[in-house]
Formats: sequence, structure tokens, C-alpha cells
Amino acid sequence: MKSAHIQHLYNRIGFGISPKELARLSKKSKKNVINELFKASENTTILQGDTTFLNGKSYKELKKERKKLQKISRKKVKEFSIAWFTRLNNPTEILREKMTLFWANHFVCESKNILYAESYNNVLRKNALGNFRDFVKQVSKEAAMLGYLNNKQNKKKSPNENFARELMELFTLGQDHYTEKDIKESARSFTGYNHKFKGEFIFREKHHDNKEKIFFGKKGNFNGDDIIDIILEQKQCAKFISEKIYRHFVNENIKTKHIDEMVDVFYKDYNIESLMRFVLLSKWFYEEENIGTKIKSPIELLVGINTIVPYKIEKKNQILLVQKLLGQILLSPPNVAGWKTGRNWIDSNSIVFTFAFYLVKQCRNSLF
Amino acid sequence: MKRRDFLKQSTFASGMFFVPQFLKAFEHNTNAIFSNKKVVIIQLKGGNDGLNTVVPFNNDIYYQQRNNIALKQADLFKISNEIGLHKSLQPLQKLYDKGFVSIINNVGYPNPNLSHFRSTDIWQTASDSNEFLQNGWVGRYIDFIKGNPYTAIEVDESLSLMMKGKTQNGLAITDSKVFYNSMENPFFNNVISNYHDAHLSEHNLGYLYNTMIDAKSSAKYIYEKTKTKNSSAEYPKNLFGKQLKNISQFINSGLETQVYYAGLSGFDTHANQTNTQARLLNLYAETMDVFINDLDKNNTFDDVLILTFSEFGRRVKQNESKGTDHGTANNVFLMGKNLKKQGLYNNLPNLANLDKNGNLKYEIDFREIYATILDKWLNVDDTAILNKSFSKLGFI
Repeated sequence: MKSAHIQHLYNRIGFGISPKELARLSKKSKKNVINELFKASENTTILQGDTTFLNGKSYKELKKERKKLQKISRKKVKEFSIAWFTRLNNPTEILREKMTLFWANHFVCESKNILYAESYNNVLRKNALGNFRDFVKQVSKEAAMLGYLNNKQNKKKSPNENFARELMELFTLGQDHYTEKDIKESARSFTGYNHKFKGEFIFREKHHDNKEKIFFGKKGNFNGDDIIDIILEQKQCAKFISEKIYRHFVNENIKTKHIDEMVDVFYKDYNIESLMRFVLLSKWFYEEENIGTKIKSPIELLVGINTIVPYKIEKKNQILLVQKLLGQILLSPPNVAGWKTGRNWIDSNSIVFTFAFYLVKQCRNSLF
Repeated sequence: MKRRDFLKQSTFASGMFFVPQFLKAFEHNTNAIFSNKKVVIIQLKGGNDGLNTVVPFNNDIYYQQRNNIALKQADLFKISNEIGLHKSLQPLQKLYDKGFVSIINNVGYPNPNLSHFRSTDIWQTASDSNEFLQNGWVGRYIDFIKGNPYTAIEVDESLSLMMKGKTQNGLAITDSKVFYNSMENPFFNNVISNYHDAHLSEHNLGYLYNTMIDAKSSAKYIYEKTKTKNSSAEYPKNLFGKQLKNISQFINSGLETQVYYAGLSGFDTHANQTNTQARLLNLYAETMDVFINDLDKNNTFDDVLILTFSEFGRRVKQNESKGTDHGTANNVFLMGKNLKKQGLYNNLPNLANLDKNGNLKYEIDFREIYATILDKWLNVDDTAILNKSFSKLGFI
């Protein structure tokens, strides 16, 4: 495989590539390089957070010490964020980790509870190359998400639409592909979702609206999983996700022909790995117009530089400070739409600027 | 010939062409300013619940629809026999009594979109709800008057669509000193002196260079103009307070900037809304009170008009989690010394006449407010900037 193509591949599905690794791979064929890439991401290495401070506490104790424990938990979430950054800098499952980061900016969520934050982050990791259908269903039942978009407060008497709306607008279909009525009916179907203290999902029958709903023209006594199934029947869902993947991994400017090809692959069974394999094996992925044309996100940039020129940040907390200055803190998205991507994070922010230009001048390839 | 070779070869020929444009960015002979008036725009982000901000306390439907979040008379200060403002807005009462506040009710647009992001874009670009624009109404104002990047400043980390024009963007600045210092870094001068016209035509790199040139040419001007003027007023110690303090410093030091934009987040109150909204409205009101007094003391308030909006209001009927879901029409606050219509500009929405989703039907198009500001306050051709003609209102 051509060096330039390997570099391109590793910029997009990883965080750059070291000269040594590049030399090794350039002796292999494209097919073998890509097979190796997927093979390396077959397993999932869970990222562990420190939750030992909760060990052995009775429910009563937990309730009594709530304030204190919340404070510790916040600190642990920060540590977990640093652990994630460290993982990104030393990944074994490169593609999986890159996809995890991608999904974190798709299924955007935040929790200050270390148990929930850890669990959510690992759901992203485990499903990163899995089945999109299972993925959405799991996300909808995670404590972090149930809290973030108020679905645990969604009760039959007067439903809360927050999750139902973002599920379609941001997670599956995109704007204008559903009606306000669909949102209301979907919200009704998700009533009764909740979780236990440690985060396990529970379905509270008495808060669930058991009456008939009409969603995308279908009638039935739907629950949340049914709603997700109906959403995925819409080809638009496969298109929406394909476009998002294309923008992120290929080019910010969409080519309809390429998207159509991707939708054909993805709509069949919503297998994310098959979709990614298709993209990376396609001819167009390596076309000149797609190489070196994307501005990296701050995290991609920081990790990318480290891959090529390893650096060390002495004080752990400074990792978070650097992320803050550049406008992308892991586990702390600005809102449910996620971090700004592409050019948008560089708009005349002076600190970002100094940094961006330093990169342009010193090592131009690192920013794109 | 390959594109790169072509660019290389044409450097000599086209160099002359690019230089004047490049230098232009560094000169400060401002283009003709059409007006010395200023507009401060504030967005209550997330969709403020307007119905619990300007409250019809005699309306039965209001109490029926919101049985555990409705505000009682004791939670309000009355501005008429029917209507009271949320008690948290009390710091604004003096300003209100002086006639510095005008409240326009039931502002929205046809076919409302209930997504935060899309509706924010609609408000920022002044588009129809089925029209997607890549530039904002303030950006197009900068284009129209051939202004500088600092004609419009967003006091934030990054620049919103509202501030982006077709040919010129506004600036995002949080701290003028940091901004200046980072731009005065010798490294930047080095980059600028090494720049080639080829860079400007490259897609992303060109974008970076152009943005940098804008930033650099403005940083010095802003810093030198504002460095001596430090506000002594006590602003609330938080992000919003800091934003408004910066704006007052910019205005009071005579910066030529005409439009400022700041935002206060957290209004997306789907659950347990009461305390959150009270806290945020109070923060807003306290800050605005300090800000306006600060301007007044420096004799600059006469030329300032403050517009506060939210991307949408909230559903009339509350939800079961003591919150409200996304809605449509909402109230807009205008503050200034020269308001022609003070207090309530129009009637409150009719709660008995809702759309099929249980949302308010708007009465005033938000672009009528923009058109009025452009035409009567900034003295420019509003139709050229809004791409369409809207009727004007009588608040200024």
C-alpha cells in the first residue's frame, strides 16, 4: 500500500502514524493493512474508572453522605476523563478508540456521576463497531442518558419530550424528517424508563403509557425499543449516519453517489463494522481531494502530535486545561449537539489561533 | 499545468493584486460609519419560558395548564392589572419604571422549528424556516456598511453564525488583553511576513490566514483603545457578568464597534424548572441593571439599544416533571433610553388559541424587530440586509 495512503488512512481512523509503523505497513497490500486494522480492534478493552469510594456503602449511608459523595464523584469523573485521554494516546484498538470518540460526539451526553459516566463511555466503546440498532437501544437505557435528556422524568400523565426529540433530531434521522406529532408519540412510548441507584435500567410499569400510539403511520402499543425499530426502518436513518461518518472520516463536502453506496451497505443490517470496512476499502476514500483536507478536532490534534512527536504533560490536570483552552474537554460537551467541528472551532479564538498557526508553520500536516 | 505550479508561477503577477487587500486589513481608516448607534444582543440560550417570565396572573388557562409550576401573584411584580413579571426580574423594576424597557410579546415566525439548533440558526440568519443561509443578519450588516471585523464583536470563545457575513466576519473576543498579547507574539508577525497569496486560495489554510489577518488587524486597535478604561462597577462574578463588563468597557472607551453579542445558557428547563429559571432570570436582571447603570454613568447609554431574545418559548402545558418542553413564540425585551413605546408593546398571547401541538401562534415576526433596528436605529437599508421587506414596529 502506498505510504501516502497509509498516512491518510491512519490520520482518519486513528491519530496519525509513526515513521516506523509506516515503514512496516507500506510493505503490505491495502487489503491486508485494513484487515489488520479491524483485527486489532476485535476486542474491547474497557476503560476503568475509580469507583472504590462507593464500595460497601449501604443505601442509607449513600443517602446520608450524598453531598460528600457527589463531590468525590465529580473528581473521579475528571480523573476518568484524563484516563480516556491517556488511552487515546496509547491505544491498542486504534479504530475502536477513534470510533468511540466519534460516537461520543454523536450520542452526546454528560454525567457527573462516575458510575454512570464510566458505564456510558464503555457502551460507546463496546458498540463502536457493532450493530447500530443495539447501540441506540443501549444508549436509551443508560443512566447517564436517562438523566441528561430527562427521560427518567418522562411519565405518562404529561410526557417529557427532551429525549424523544433529540433521539430523532440528533441521533438517528436529522432535522425535518419527522413531525411534532411523532415526537409526542415517541415520548409517550418512552414513558416509564428509569434506572436504579447504581445505574441499572428499570422499566416502571406504572409510569408507562400503555395506550395505543401512532408513530410514522404505524399503530400499536409501542415501547421505546419499538420506536427505535420503527425509526431504523426509515432509510433516512441509514443515510443520516452514513453522511455523518462521511463528513467525519472522508470529506466535509458530501458526494451523493458515495452516500448512496454507503446506505446500500448500512441499511441492510445496520452493522457499523461492515460500513466502515466498505468506506476504507473504497477507491474514493483515497482520492486526492480527500487527502489533507480536513481540520482536526482539538483532541485529534493533541493526540496526533503525540503520535508523531511524543510529548509529556507533567501535571495531569494540565491535560484538562489544555483541552479547555482549545475548546474540547473529554466527557464535558458544551451541549447536546456536541463539540464544534471543522473550521468552526478555530474562528478567531486567539489561543487556538496561536496554536493552530504554530502547527501550520512547524508541521503543516498535523492540523489537517 | 498543475494547480500548484500555476499558483507558483502566477505569484509575481498576482502579488500586486493581493497586496492592497492584505494591507487594507491593517489600516484603521474606518469606512463610512452610517450611524454611531450601538446594539447589544443577548440570547437566553436553551429557550426561556416566556410565559413564566411575563405572566398573565388572571388567566385561568395559565393556572390549569401549569398546576405545579404556575407563578402566583406573590411570585411576581405587577406591571398592569393583568400582567406581572417574574420576581427574579426585580432588579429591572427601576429601569422599567423609568421607561427604559419595552416588552414585545408573542414574537416568532411562520412554521416554527422546535429544535434548539435550527431555531437558533433561523434567529441568527433571519431566514425563513425552510431556508438555509450560511451568513447571519449582523454579518450581512457588516458587509453592507463595508465594516471591519470589529464592527461586530461576540464576547465568546467562538463566532456564531449571526456574526458571519458573505465577505466579512465579526470577531469573537473574551479578553482584549489576552487577544492582543497573543497576536503581538513575534511568531505571528513571522507567519504574516511569510505568507503567500497561494495560501489564501487554499481551502482551509486560506481560511485560517484570512481569519488571522482579521484578528491581528483588530487586536491592536481594540487593545489600545480600551486599555485605559476599566470599569469600576461591580458585576456579578460569573461568565455572563464578565461578558457584560467587557462590553461596557468596549462601549465606554469609544470603540467603533456597533454590535455586541453575548449569551446566557441554561434555559432548557425540561424538568424542575422553577428554581433554575428563577436563578437564571435573576442573574440576567442583576447583570443588566449593573450594565445599564455603568453605561449611564459614562453617558453612553443614549446610543445603546439592548435586544434580548431566546430561540423559542416553551409549551403552554407543563410536563409531568415540573418542567416545560420546547415551544414557539416568545417575548423579546428591548432596553434603551429612547424607546417610543415603553412597557408592554402589545398584548399577551391568546392561550385559548394554540396550534395543533399546543403551542402559541406568533403575532410579530422577529424579523420585523430586526428591520426596525436596522432602519430606524442603524439607518441602513433593512431590505438589502434581510433579503426581504418587513413592516416596521414603533418601539424606536
